[in-house]
Amino acid sequence: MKHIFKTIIDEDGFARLPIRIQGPHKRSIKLIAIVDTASSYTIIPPFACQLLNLPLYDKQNPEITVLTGSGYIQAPLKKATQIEILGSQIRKRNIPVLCHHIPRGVTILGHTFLKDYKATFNWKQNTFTLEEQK
Amino acid sequence: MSQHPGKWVAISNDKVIATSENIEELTTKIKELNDVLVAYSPTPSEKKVGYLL
Repeated sequence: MKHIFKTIIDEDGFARLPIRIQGPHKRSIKLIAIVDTASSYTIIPPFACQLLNLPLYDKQNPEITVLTGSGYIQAPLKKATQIEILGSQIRKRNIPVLCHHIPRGVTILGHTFLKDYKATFNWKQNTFTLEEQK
Repeated sequence: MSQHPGKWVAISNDKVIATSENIEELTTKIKELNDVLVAYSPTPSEKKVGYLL
């Protein structure tokens, strides 16, 4: 079965999706994530990583280096047990997430989550669609 | 959520259960709770600031 999530693009041009991030022991938190096709990683705020007690994605490489608009940063790469788009059947397990503070608690759905889906921005109609293609 | 500009807000079952001016305090308030929606409610001036992500 093909799963689809469709939402309105906000006035500021961003598609914001309600997500549930699950950690070990069934602990979860809900956040509002911005779809960012220019981000290699899914990024969640450090407070969420701590609340969920997310384990390292790769114990041999606890931190990774990424290039941002403000230069290079190092941040821990953790493993989310599951990320789910609320109001849909779209979910993915064992996702690497970068635990990094962005002001206002901005959360990013990046390539590590989006790569297996068809993501469509329809700027003319102000809609964003995420489709699972099996 | 727009009723709490400049604050962090925790929502459960469609109700605001906690607010705080900083995320550390809010995290303490919700650390025993599960599946809570956490978001920052921007002020009107913050809403006018664009993003470069």
